[in-house]
Amino acid sequence: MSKKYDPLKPNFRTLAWMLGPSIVLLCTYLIWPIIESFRLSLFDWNGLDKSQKYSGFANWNELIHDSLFWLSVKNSFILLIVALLIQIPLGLSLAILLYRGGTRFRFFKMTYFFPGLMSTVAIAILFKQIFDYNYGLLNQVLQSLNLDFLMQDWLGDKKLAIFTVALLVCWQYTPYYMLLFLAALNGISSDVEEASAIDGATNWKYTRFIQIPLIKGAIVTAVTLITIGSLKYFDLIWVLTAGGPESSTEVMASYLYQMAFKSYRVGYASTIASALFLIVFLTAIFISRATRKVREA
Amino acid sequence: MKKFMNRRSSILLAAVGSIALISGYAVVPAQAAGPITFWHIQSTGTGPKLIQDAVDRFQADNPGVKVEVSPIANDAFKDKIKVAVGADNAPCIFPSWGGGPLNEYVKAGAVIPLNSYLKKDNYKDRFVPASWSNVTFGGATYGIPVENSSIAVIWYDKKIFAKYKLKTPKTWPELLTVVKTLNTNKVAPFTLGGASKWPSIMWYDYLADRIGGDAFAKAALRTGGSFTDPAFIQAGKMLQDLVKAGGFIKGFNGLNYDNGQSAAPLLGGKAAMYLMGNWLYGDFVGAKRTGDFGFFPFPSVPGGKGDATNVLGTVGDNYYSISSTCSDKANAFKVIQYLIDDKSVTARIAEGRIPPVKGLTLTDPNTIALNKMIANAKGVQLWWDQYLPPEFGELHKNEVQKLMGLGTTPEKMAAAQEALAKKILD
Amino acid sequence: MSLLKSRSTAKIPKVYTFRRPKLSVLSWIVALLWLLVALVPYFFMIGFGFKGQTELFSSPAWKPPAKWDPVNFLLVLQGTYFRALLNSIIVVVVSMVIVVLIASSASFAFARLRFRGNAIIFSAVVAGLIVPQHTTLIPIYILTNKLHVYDSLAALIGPYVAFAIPITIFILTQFMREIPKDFFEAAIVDGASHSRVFFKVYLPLARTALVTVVIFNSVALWNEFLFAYVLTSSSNKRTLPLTVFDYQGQYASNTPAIMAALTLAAVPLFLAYFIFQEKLVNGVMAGAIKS
Repeated sequence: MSKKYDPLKPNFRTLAWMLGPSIVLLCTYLIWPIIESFRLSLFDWNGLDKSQKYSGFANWNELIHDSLFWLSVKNSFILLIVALLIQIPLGLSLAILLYRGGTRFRFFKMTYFFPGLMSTVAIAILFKQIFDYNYGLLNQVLQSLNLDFLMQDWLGDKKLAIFTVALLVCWQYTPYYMLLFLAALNGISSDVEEASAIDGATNWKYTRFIQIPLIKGAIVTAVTLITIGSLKYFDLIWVLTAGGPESSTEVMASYLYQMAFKSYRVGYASTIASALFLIVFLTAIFISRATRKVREA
Repeated sequence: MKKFMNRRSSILLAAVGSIALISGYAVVPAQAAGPITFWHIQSTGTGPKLIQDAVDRFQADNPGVKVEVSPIANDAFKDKIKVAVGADNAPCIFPSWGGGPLNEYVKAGAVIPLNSYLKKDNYKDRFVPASWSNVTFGGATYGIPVENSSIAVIWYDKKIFAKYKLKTPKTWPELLTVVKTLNTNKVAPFTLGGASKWPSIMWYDYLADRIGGDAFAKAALRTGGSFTDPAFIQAGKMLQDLVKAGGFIKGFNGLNYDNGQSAAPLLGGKAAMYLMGNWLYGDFVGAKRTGDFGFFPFPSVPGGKGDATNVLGTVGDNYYSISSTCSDKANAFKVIQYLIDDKSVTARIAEGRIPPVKGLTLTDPNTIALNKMIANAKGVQLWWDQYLPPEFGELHKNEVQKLMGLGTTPEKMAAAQEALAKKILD
Repeated sequence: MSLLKSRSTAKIPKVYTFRRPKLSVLSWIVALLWLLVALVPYFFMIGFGFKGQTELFSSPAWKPPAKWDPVNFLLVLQGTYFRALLNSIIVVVVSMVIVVLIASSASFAFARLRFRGNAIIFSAVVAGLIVPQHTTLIPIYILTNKLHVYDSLAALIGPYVAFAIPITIFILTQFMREIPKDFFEAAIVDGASHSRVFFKVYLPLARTALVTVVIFNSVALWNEFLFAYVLTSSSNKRTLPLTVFDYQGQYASNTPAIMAALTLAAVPLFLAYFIFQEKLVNGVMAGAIKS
């Protein structure tokens, strides 16, 4: 292409109106806030006073020694691991089921997605009632089936609560991954299927050795989405448990919110916000590295 | 044709969008023009009507002054007001419980002192004197008590007490006996909204008051006291002992107050008692079962230094303050006066409330008994989470939840509270 | 999208395929089990909404209401329900119009134009996908106050649009790259400007992808909680999820009314789902597939 005239090269005005608005908005609402959060993390500020007191890295030092923060990090990763262990296999199984069922399972396909349709807030309020120890649906059903020994204090028991929350997350999001896998399965060329059928592969073998390897890309996508999503989790926990009981369901985002809007420690909350960003960012890089081979294959 | 339709529909969409955009901007509050914005948290039952009636009377007498009233739910309000004040966008009139959080706003210059208004016609004398201490900082008063006198009492199911021939306990050992009897009969003694945290601290705060007397004031005001005082440790131990003795319904740390979960066991007969503010009465009214429940004061603790008549709560729940960004402060004050004029007082009494003004004529036996309790109280201790700065309030609530979940020891809790007190109160 | 279409349009010859094997009993059991898990909470919610206030105490939670009394639903409808519904519609529609306008033009530039830093800027924009809303929350809150839009629907539009941009640009750019270059070159040779090519050729051709991103983003924004929670406060500025949240305190011990409110709040999206099912599902998925 000659230097003088390049039909692909836009003039400045065109480029400005095409890219400008998006970039301005991204800078205002994504990039600047990240920098500003980091700046605020260097201040002791309650969010009300006109003056912000510079405190150097005092907030960061406190964060490193804050056992509650590390507990919230741990809880975020528990959510992540449970989500990976349940949503991927379950979503995959349901997708294969729907795939094999074909049109016979059209009704199932429609209803299976229901949990993904309600807003997270509504889900949290609804399940507070379902998990209630005394009057909740779950315990009362167990009781009426004479399964009293299975009755649990689902949200009040500090050892159990985080897993109850994690299972609810799976309830809400598995349908999304199910559909993702189903779409990927439907995308496999019918030639492959016919060839395998002629070769006399069984259902199971076909699934295990042909289908799953062929939708590796979708699985990697799901792993990435689950990982990033889990670390940012907030709405459900905030409404369902507000981090309790005894901080047993505190995650990074809820701890941040609590510090900023309950304890009036905006400087420290900004430190948590910056740490959250770093953790998500590093995890994203890690995943992208770890899955590079699969993606490039 | 198809193309044409598409273009038409896209134009239509753009038109709808721009109209929406314009109306979106049109709803931006126009602070400068000066309607009196007014938030309150009387959002349940007849609360909104009480307020609206008073505002309507104000507007009838003051044509031309606009008042915008927004009822907001309790827990949501606590976050919202903080956000709004931080934004220099506080409503003209907003409620509080006085104490630490209000003091934060005072320090930030977000609310105005009302002394000059109160002096006029000796308006201040209209109110019960005990109501002012929570809103007075450095000699200036920043809030007017209006809604109710709120104190924590122990509500109980009369039928259950009659069935097991129980007497309302006057002392802690008597309470423990009641707990034992109820447990042997498979009735949970107390229900508790442990997930909401603030109901739990009523237990600790009351015990600390009964045992320690002025230990709390000394520790909080840093006049020679400490949160590691033996009184606090003992309060923590007694509370944990009550938990271990099965004093609370199973799953209490998972129950919320706001969605009615924690009151359900009391209303449903699964639990016999609930230490809760007198506003719980509203739930009995709602369920049309006012006759089934009674209350008694928090029991005394033998050997404790605190007076057994002391109550935990506030006289004047809520207080109304005027923000410094309000453009029409004089009229804002007038609105507040309408909220607690004679008509409003009568209306509130009819709802079973106790407005914090002198010389009330009460008829409801429950209200009379409560009023007597408040009148006889040697002292009214504001809930700790409202009395102390927000950061301490949060820590306190979290620690008590942990204490009752047996996740910490009284000693560890005391140390944590004292450490924070040293940092922010000294 | 082509991924999704290919299978359904392909003609399957009448040989045995793995798509329609005989279903084992186990398959049916699993299918019914998840059906139960997915549906029971909804049955419970709707039934509870019709119950009387004290029925909670007298009969087990799994029993249908003694009397199907719609009083709770009427109570909720008399409240701020319709205002909240309107607010949600306004916010989502306005945000979507803006997102489509600005992201599609940016995508065109990334996909077809040559300028310095194209690849780097594009990667930076896509990296925006992972930014947690919480990290930006406090600064955006402060900014909202400075712009004097706090507690208005306008406060939500900025963050909503900004957070929708990365995924939208990502999907649209991929899509536009698949549109044959011939179209572009032919138009340029004819003397059309870049802007004209974008409006007359690429934007119309990208319609299916636009539908996808609009659906995908709308569902996400419809249920958005955090920004709406922090950036609005008055009850007449709340969107639907926030109104649902506020209902909790409002109806306090009237649990059936809370359940009725949840049911009513879920209605719009379910309606949309039943009407546009295939499109909605594909839209939601496309967002995931492409990334």
